[in-house]
Amino acid sequence: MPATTTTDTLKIVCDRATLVEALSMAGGVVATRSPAPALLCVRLVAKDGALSIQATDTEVGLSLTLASVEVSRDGEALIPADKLSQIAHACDDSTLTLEVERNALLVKGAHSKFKVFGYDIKLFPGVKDGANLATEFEVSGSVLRRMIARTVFATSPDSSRYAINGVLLERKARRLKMVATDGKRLALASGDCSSPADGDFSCIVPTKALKVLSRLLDDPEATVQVMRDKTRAIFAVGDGAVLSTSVVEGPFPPYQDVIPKDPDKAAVFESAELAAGVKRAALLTNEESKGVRFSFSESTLKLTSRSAEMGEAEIEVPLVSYKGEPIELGFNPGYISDVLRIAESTEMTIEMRSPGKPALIRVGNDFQYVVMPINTA
Amino acid sequence: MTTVPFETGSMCVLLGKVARWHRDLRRLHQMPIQLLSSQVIDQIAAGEVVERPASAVKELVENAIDAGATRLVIEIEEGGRDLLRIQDDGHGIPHEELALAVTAHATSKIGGIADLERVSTLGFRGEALAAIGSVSRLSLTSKPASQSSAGRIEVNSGLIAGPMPAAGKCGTCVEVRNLFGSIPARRKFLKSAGAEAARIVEVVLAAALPRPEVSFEVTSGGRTLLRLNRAAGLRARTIDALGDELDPHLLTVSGVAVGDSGESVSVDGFVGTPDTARGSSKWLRIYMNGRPIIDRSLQHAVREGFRGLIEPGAFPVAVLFVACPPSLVDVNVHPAKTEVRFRQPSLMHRLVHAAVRDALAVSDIVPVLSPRQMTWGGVNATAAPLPFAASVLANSPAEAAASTTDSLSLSAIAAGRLLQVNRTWLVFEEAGALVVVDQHALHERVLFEEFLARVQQGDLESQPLLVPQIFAADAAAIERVEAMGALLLRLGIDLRQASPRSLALHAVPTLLASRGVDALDFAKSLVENESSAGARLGDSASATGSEVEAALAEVLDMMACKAAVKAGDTLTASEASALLARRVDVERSSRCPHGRPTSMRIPLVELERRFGRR
Repeated sequence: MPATTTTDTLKIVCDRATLVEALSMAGGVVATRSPAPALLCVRLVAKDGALSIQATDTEVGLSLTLASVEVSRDGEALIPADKLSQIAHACDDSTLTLEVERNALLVKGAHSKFKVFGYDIKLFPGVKDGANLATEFEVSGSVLRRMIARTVFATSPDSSRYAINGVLLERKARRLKMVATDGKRLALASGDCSSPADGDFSCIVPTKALKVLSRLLDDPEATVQVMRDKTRAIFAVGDGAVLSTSVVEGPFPPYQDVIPKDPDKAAVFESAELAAGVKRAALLTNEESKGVRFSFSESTLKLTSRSAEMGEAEIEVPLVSYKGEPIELGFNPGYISDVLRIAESTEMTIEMRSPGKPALIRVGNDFQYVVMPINTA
Repeated sequence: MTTVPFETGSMCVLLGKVARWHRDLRRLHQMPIQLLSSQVIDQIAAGEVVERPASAVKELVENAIDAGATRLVIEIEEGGRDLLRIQDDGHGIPHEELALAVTAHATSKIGGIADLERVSTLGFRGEALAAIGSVSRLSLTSKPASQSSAGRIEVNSGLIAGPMPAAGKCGTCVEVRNLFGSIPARRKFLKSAGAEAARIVEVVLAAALPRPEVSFEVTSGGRTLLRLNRAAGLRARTIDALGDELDPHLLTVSGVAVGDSGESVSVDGFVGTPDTARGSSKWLRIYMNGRPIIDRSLQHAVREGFRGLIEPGAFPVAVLFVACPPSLVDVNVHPAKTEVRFRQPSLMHRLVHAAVRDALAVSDIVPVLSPRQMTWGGVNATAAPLPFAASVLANSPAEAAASTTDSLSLSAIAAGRLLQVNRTWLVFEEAGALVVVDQHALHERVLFEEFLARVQQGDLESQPLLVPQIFAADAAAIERVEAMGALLLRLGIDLRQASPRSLALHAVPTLLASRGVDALDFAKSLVENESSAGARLGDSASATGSEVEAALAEVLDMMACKAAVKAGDTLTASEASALLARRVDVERSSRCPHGRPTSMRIPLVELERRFGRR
């Protein structure tokens, strides 16, 4: 933006509901605590008849363009995100007028008037919009949203291994894969994409960026264009929103090696039945003994749990089918209920080999979930 | 062929030396083998028994106690070099036995080898008087109650004179003058008079502790160095001897155990609360059947009992009296008798460890801020007033935390009942005191006890990893991990060597995983910090039970530390009160496993005093 005298003169009228939604989205990006006050702000840019709202914590950057605004005067402002959002939220007018007056932003409704002090616009680090970058591939919003939901829960938020703080996004030809792991379980979601570019694509996207991206994918019709440069990946959603994120450095664990190749036992079950059973069995576990024992045999699955102080539980879950020798292994019930909750499928298959080997849960052709059994004591 | 140039002068000197050396050797060969005179034998033996004035005092005090004395007066001059005089009111030595008393290996305390098995007196070897007499001018004056007058015998560097009639009170008085006068080498090794006097006071004190029924007095050149009046009991004697300030802090220890063949052994005595711990082992005193002993195993047992309650370098204050049938212990290991050998060392260790631990467990040992510790008030006097008003106004802890980025922030928890200060301390009122709790230290202690209880029920549940996590480690670290392998497996940690320079983490305990502890981070700190207990396990081929226990405690401690809330974590009202509620359930909750305090009480009385209200 050319920093000139016009920066002092922004004046717009905008739809309040749209503004509230955009500010709440931007609120998901701004830093929660930062010594640099500019990182706690949103940048408002009125230009070419539209309002653009930008926010960044330097890792993830977001730019939203609002069309439902009337721009009286072009200009810019850097305003604390939470205060502006609270004001927009608390008003009940259908439209609000935003106007810059010296170093402050005036927010006016029919009966209310706020003056919020802003910061020097030059303090804002800026947000990449990917304008000069070639599109790597395009994917439908609904597919990407489902893939994010199926993987992001399995990341390890606190790990010192930064690579598994994020989700691996990988494209081979027209097939897109997302992989997440916390070291004890691994989720692998697949989907189709279109690929104007040649060559493969691979990067690790931080969890925070994917959570924001998922919220941008409300509209199932929207198409997402994915671009990247050396250090960042950029997702352009529809024509109003651009999310850019730094990618995580470092090697992702060799996920192909983890997926069991030779399971000789397979059980098919109804998701809802198993979810209810696991929930009940988990009642008698605690922080010190998490494990629930899964005993598979012809036609039934028996779940047992035991906690030294509280007692024991034994739950039977009917199986749709079972193939192989009976087997008994322990699982962290949380790892099983996680996948049942997000898979959105009525039926799934669990494939096993031995209590010491990872088990594989399959949901259709597009979702695999590997979970390492527990050695219950 | 090479020639080595040499200087004629230095060669001559060298040859002269060789000649002298040969002459000395010849002279040695010329001395025939002969029996040493009894005087020389006594002087050699005296070297073992009487090393310095304090050791002579020890022997003489023990004799007096064995003679049933109730009052001992010890006078010294020049640190005992010039004079040692010990007057007792014991049963005395009959005139006709005086000569035997100063003869080596003469004793009234044992009759034959069988008696050695059941020695119950302090002395028995029959060496002391003879040994002291051989290196000083000793005079022994004694009057049994049954005899009308006293008798005296004198020994001058081993030469006996007497017995002769003398004047004297009932009991025995031993006077030792010019100690080591005939052995200048020994005399040269003595420390200053003050230092030797201090050692004498120490041995008298040590002898006095288990005997409240006997009064002791030590004077040096007319100045009283120690006075212990007859006391009502062991506790009163302990306080008299070690200092009044211990009075409110002494916990009573009592325990009994039964040995392999049905003999019962017991321990009684006192330990100071953890905040009385000292920097030296001088305050850790152990007696075996009334005899002060230095036994590393029992000292270890006491310190193990304090594990986690005091800081690693500190020593607890403890005075413990172990009673053990003479058949279970050999006291005849060393002439000074400070070392003993137990026939069942592990039984003794268990007994002492359990008794100390129980004494500490039943007591409320939260440190109290007493007027003695003025530092707290001193700092506060100049500090800026706390921003109470601003912070109590904040509605929720989260808001309070978010709104302040100052170094000091306060959050009101549960409407004025409980405050979280600086997201580190919980402050509340309880039973007439303001209590400050360190949230991390308390949670660490709570978790430690939970984990320990869980481990005692069986191995911890383990979550294997999909891909082993490999990290670099040096050879020493790998060796430690190998030594601890079995122990770690019990705790659900599968850590193995991956290559000569790296370790692979295969599984972690679920209780860590479910508390969000990063596995790799934990394994690394385990390997790096495992210097003490793990190393000891590696050193000894067969680790003893207590070593394994120590190593176990160390790993559990680390697990608790990683899993506990940290300073800086905002606690919700319910989290904070849940944590405090567990404080009462947990043994030894007043200290974190590292021994730092978890809570501090500031009595309201103390606040009133500081605000000039009383």
